Amino acid sequence: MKTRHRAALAISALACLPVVVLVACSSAPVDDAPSRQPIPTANPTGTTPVTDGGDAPDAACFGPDQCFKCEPVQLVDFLNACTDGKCIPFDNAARLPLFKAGEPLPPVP
Amino acid sequence: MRFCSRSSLALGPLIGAFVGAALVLTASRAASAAPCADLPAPVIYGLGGSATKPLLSKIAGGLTAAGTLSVVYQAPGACLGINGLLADTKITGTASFWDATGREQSCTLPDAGQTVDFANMGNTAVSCPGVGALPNDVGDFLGPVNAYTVIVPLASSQLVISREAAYFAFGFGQLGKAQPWIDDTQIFRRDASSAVQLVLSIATGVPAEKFKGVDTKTNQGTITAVAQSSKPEAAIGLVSGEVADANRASVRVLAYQHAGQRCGYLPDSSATAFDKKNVRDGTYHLWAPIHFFAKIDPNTKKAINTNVAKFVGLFTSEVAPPANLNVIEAEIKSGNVPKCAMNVWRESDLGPLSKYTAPEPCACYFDQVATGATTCATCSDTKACEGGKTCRRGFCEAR
Repeated sequence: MKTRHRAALAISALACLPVVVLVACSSAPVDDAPSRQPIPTANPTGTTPVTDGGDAPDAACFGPDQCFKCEPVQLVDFLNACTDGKCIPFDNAARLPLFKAGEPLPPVP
Repeated sequence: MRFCSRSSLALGPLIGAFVGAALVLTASRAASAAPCADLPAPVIYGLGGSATKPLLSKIAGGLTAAGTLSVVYQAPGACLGINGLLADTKITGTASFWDATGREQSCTLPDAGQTVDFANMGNTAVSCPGVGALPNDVGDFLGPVNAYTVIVPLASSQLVISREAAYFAFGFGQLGKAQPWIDDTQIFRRDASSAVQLVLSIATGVPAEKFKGVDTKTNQGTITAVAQSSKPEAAIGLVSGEVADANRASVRVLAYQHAGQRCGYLPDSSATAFDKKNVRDGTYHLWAPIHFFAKIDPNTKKAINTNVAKFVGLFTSEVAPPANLNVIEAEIKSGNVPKCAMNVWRESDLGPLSKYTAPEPCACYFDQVATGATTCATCSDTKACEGGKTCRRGFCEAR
């Protein structure tokens, strides 16, 4: 997520007011998609696409706003695919006091 | 959390209690409705969730109008349907049927109980408590795709929720500190037999039986509770996408951001659109095909009850509908997405995605019916398609 988005959401959290940042990402050709190792379908602790520590996705696969512009293979690729549609980020770190980036979520009581 | 590994023995009494409570409740409403058995024959009886009622009203209403079949349906909850079918539960009390205009009506089931012919819900059987793998004499017939949604009142300022925020809101309630969803009296949930709660359970990791908040019993109950909340900023609920679509004048769907996703998407390209673009392309995570379950011949895989076969065959395109009934159009107008309009597919509840190309696509037709417009060329018997495209339902589809 871009710095300006984090800053906007942090200010929003402080003011207890919602801020909406609409992100648009243009589609890109996928015919030159590089191959790579599978990556997890979801990151249980964060909002940034993650890898399994093996071969990282090719940096060339990420377009503006970190959308995924290569041929999608894993769930996270589809979820982050570059589209011309609008999407709205939710900043877990800024809005969820019990959320700790990089740590497992606490068990449900 | 998945429930396929749970002990059916341990949950058996719980399921029985659920079913029993539902049947007692419905029985108490059985005041003066006419007997279901008096409906025009043949009559088939279904049991399951309330999420698909908008679709059932169009399909069953069309069948009633055609004089083909009368569909009677009781909706105590998604998983109660499949459990009732597997256990040969006899349903009593009142049930719904749809008249020739698609209007829901009520009829009375026999006091001795009525055998369930089919079950219907928005999730796979293995996601239900007490159900492992389906026995080989029960078939799973897929209907169109349905989105599942998190909703807030129109007066709420919230537009998006993350998987983690939903985890804290529905799993912890007040203790989760997921502002503004921290008031347990304004968190509207279902129970562990509800398809929408099971789907949200799988998505968030909150065990389906541990959701905080007030049980609204049905999809419509959630709409009412959320729409009429006295604390709109704090209110939040879960409903089937087709029910949410039918109630946009009362509630608003939140964009959903799954774990590992950079931002949240609505099912549609905007809050006012009905194109299901983000479901069809796979950027909106919360969707699953509707399932119909029926007893089958293990060898032929066909429903044993020929009238049930005619009914479920409408959704699988194995049976031609009566002339008055356009099944694909009914699915689209109900807020669902026929598989022929999907660009992605999955084989399990919220499972991995793969690209999908329908053998007989209906993407152009979907756009026209759902949104009133399409960029596709029109075609007819005398006006062929160009560029290798195929004329289907009046539009030049990709193949």
